[in-house]
Order: sequence, then structure tokens, then C-alpha cells
Amino acid sequence: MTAPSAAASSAAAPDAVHLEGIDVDYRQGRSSTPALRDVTIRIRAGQTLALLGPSGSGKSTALKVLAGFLRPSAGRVYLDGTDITDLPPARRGIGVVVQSYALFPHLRVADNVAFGLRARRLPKDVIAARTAEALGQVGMTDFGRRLPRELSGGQQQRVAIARALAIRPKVLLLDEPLAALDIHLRQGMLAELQRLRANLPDTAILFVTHDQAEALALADRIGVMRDGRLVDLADTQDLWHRPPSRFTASFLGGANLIPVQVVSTLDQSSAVVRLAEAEFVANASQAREPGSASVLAVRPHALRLTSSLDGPDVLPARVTSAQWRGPATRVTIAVDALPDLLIEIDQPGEIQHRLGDRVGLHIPPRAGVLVPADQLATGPPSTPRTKAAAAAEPASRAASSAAPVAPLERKP
Amino acid sequence: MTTLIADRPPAGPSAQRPALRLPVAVWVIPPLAMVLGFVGWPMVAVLGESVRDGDGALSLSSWSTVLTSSEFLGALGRTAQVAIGSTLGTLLLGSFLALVLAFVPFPGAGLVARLIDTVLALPSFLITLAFTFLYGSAGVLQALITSVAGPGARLPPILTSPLGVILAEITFFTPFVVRPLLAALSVLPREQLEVAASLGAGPLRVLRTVVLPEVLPALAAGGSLVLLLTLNEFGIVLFTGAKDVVTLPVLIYTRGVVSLDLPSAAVVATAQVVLSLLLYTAYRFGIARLRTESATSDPGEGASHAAVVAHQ
Repeated sequence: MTAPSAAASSAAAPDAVHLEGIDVDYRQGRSSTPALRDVTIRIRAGQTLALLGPSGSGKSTALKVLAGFLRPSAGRVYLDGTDITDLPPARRGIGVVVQSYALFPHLRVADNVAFGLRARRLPKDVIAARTAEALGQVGMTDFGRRLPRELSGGQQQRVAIARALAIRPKVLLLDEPLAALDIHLRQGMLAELQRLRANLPDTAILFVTHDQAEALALADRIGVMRDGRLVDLADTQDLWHRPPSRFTASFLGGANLIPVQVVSTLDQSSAVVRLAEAEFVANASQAREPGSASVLAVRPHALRLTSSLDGPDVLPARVTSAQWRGPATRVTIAVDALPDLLIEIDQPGEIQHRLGDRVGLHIPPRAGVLVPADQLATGPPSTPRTKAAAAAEPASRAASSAAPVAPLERKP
Repeated sequence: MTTLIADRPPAGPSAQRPALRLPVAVWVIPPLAMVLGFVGWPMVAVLGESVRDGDGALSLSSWSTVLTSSEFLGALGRTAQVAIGSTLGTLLLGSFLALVLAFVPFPGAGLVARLIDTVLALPSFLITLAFTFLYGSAGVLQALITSVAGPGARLPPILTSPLGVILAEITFFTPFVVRPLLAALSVLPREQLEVAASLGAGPLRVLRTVVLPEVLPALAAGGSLVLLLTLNEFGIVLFTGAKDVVTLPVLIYTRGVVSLDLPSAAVVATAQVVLSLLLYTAYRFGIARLRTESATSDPGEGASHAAVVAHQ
């Protein structure tokens, strides 16, 4: 687990949200399944943290612990420095938007939004004013008299957000809020959430998603989760440009994980590495020992294919598949020097390749970043992408277990 | 339709075979005859019996005599008292049990639910018989009281009172409310309850404002069914041996079988049928209205109006 950013921990004011060493176990009868292990998260007021991870990684469980829907088996939950671990959800004052929106179907939109205000027994005029304000915030002023079933998915989501905002929470929890929308609605709602984020400067937001694009677009910081653990937690830019682990590199941006050998260190942030006969410069988050094995995480869009097979920085390879995806073509190649490793490259436009075509792989300087070669707990999310694995599971992607330079990826 | 026909592939020999076309009457008459024979004819027969005097001549004298008699009015009142009391008790107990089974996880909850279901399979008089063994004048509870307080101590005769009948009917008919309510609660999204709680609503408020409106149709259906069944319940009332509890079915039995006053029994039976049909109509009307209201009505709470008005 990566420590929270220095800025966050050094802030004078208490964190808006602080989950400290949270464990959660799902019990059924006498059996117990660990859902969260030692998760520590801090979010400052006005900050948006995205919890990103595959299904079953524990990100929604973490959100439920914070909301009070689940009680942790270990650890404490703090809100503005106050321990709220034992408080019921009704007394936490946290706004929650769930994936299904969970609008109350028998109540009209305005009554849905006013629900939390009525629960607080506020005066009627205050309820009316704040309901109208919340509906205005999400552009649903004219829909107050409709029933939820009379709304589209996007409109329902706005109402759910308005309902959460009406109680003026200091913390807003969004659990996969865009997952139920189609791709076009999702794009529009993403922009609306960005606008909403800008209008809530004092609200801490915890945003759970499995979509990296949503996390990158909305979050100031991203926490990557896997198997109930927080693998990495860092500022969005840092995590994207310098992923601290193989898992994060692979999950965030779908990086290829290529085994390399460190030749020399240029400075604290870069090193010369060798792959077969080719040498090139790679970014590094920390100094690497010359001669040590490492893994180069390089995203498909950062790699280049050449028609020439010769050159000091070109690796001869063979095309194993090519998929046109509209703006780009995803080409999968097998480098001669790494016969069991499949590397994916996004080439702009529609590129015509035939199976078995000979091509050259060019890795531009500083196109990738070095990540630790041997991490048991933070390995790639899927089975290593060997030729055999690719035949069975074409979408999988990772370094080969037969890599000549780096140690083997061991399955946890 | 034309396009569909035009696009059809050429029909093969088997497709050219003319379809078996029977007159609609062939499909309608048999079930209609069965309904008329098994339901309509007995009711007509009962109605016919009620409008004949002792000599077999047509007469409405039985109607005027029976409907104004204190026996009939007393039985009508007692029937309503027992049916309404049992229904209310069933709704309360059934709702409580369903909520506990749905929301309070405890070991053996599944077994309890199945045991409750099992009651549905038992004959109603068995419950009363069990009540007699437990709470009757020679039952287990009486024996316990006698052993503790002496031979003079007597259990109040609750079992043979209207309250005893109501308690027995509540015991027997509660599953009729629990089952539909559990089904309704099982499809109630948990997220709604969680979100309601996060918005500041306590358990009772969540129950009242979120759960109850969602399960109201199931509750109404279960309650209406129990009301209809308790209105016509005969076995439980008979087996309690409560002489003072004369309901309409008991009156029909007394007049028809004990006194052999068939015209009077037919009048009471016809009144009972009319009452049941009226209740059923009210139930259907109520359910339809409930659905319509949930679809179109205004919740009528201030904020919705105020919020809308403020922006118009």
C-alpha cells in the first residue's frame, strides 16, 4: 500500500474522511470471507478520490463502510476528525448515490429530493427552498412533479445526486454512478459531474468506479484496489505517469509489461535499459541498480511499429493479430527476442496487417516507466499474456512467464 | 401484415394442410357449462329455496323474517367483529413476522418461515383443537394453573369467547399475510433502505415512508384475502365450542342442518354470498385505486408543491 500523499497528511485541518486500517469480513454461517484488509484512506475537504479496481476488489465495500452500511471488523472511520465508526448511517450526514440510483418509486422527484430534509424535520419553507436549489444544481427544476419511472436513466441519476446534495453533506459518496448509463449518456454525465465537482469546493467526494476514464476525468487522487487491499494511492497524474506497481500499470491504462535489464542510471527519474539488442531510455520512479532486472510498463499508444526491421532501437517482431477500433488499430505482436510475450500497440487510424507480417517494434525514449520486477501482492490483474494464454483468452495482457531478463511473475 | 405474408417462404405440403378450425362455441361452452353447473346452479338453487315458503310457493316472507330477526343481525355483527378483528390481528402479527424474517437475520429464520408456511397446509380446525388442548378448561395451561394455585383456580374462558375465536383465526390465517409480504419485501431493493438511512431517516421512518408504500399492495391483498376467508370461516368457530359466537356460517348450519329450516338457511346463505361478493368487489376496486394512485396521485406533501411553484 502506498502512503497517502504528503500534502494530505501534512494538512493542518483534519481530513474530511479518514478510514484507518479497515478490515471487513463477510460472514455466512461459520465461514468468513475477507472483503477488505488494512485499508487506510484519507480525503481532504474539496478533494475527489476515485477508488478504482476490478469487480470484487472491495471498492464498494470500502464505500459502504464509510456510509455506515457495513461495520468493519477492525479499524476506525473518522469524519472531520470525529470517530463515527459506531454511528448509524442516519447520523453520519453523508450523501450517497448508488449505482441503481435507488429512487423511491412512489415519491415524486421533488419528494425524493426532500426526503432527507424531512427526515431532519426542517421547516417546510426551508425544505422547499433547498429542494428547489438541489434540483436546480442538477438541471432538473422542471421535473419536480414527475415520478421516477417517468424519467430517463440520466435524469434519474441527476435526481439521485440532487437528493444526496439536498442535505448538504460534507462527504459525497458515488458508487459507480455512471455504470447503468449507455455510452452516450455516460459521456454527457461525466461532463456534468465535472461541473458539479467544481461547484462543490468544500465537499469531499469518494467515487467508486471500475472505469479508468471516469477516474482520470474526475479524481484528484486515485486509489487502486485489488483483492480487498489498497494497492496504490496517489495523485492522479503521478499514478498515470509513474505507476508504482505492475498491477496499477496494467490496470490503469493497460500497459504492456516488458521485462528489461537496467544498463545504467541517468538520474533519479530515468535509466537506460536493454531489451535484447536494443537499448533505450525509460522513466524510473526510483534509482535502479545497473544490471538489475526490471519491468518496463509501456502503454499501447506509446509504442510504434516500423516497417524496417533494422536499427539499434528496433526489435523485429511478427504480427499475431490486428483489430481496427475506429480511431486506432490495436495490433498484437510477438517480438522475436521475447517469443512468448505478446505486446499490444495502438496505431492511429486503420492499419492493414496480415497475420504473420514482419514488423519492427520501436520503443520511443521515455515512453515507459520502470516498475518493480518482483511483486507478489501487486502482480498484473490477469493471467500473463503468453501465446498459449492469448489463444485461450485474447484480451489478457501481461508479461511472459518465460521472459529472459525479468524474474517470473508468480501467481499469488 | 401483408408484408409478413408476402415474405413467407412457399408453404410445403404440411403447411398447406388446413388448420383445425373449430367454432368458438366449442371452446367457450364446456368451461361455461362447468362454471354454471358447479357454481351458478347451486347458487340459483339456494336463491330459489330462499324465495319459497313452507308449501313450496314463491314468497319473500322468509327474507323479511330472517333479515329483520335479531339472530341474523346478531350473527352479522358477530361475523363482522370476528372477521375484522382477525384481519387486523393477522395484519399486525403477519407484518411483524415478515419484517423480522426479512430484515433481522437470525439462525433458523428459514426454518421459521417454512413452519409458518406449513400452517397453510393444516386444516383450520386443527389449530382450534390445539388451542383446546392448550388453553381449554381441561387443557395444559389449566392443569398448570391448578397445580400452582390449587383446584379452585380457573382459567378465564377466553377460548370459548369471541376473543378466543379471533386468536385462533389469527393463528391460522397469519401465513396468508406473511407469504405475500415476504415476497414483496424480497424484491424491495436494499439500496433504497440504505440510501434512506444515509439521508437521515431512522428505522421507523424508513419503515413508514419507504417500506410500507412499497408493500402496501401485498399487504392489502393478504388482508383482503384474510377478511374474505374469516368472513366465511366455519371450522374454527365450530371447534372452539363457543356457544355465544354465532357467525353467519354457524347460523346457516344451525338453520339448515339442525333446525332443517332450509328457506331461512338459504336466505342467510344468499346474504353471505352477497356480502362476500361486495367485499371482493371492494377489494378489487381498492387494489385498482391503489395502483392508480401510486401512478398518478400527488403525494401532497409541501415540498413538492413548494419546490415546483418556486420555479414556475
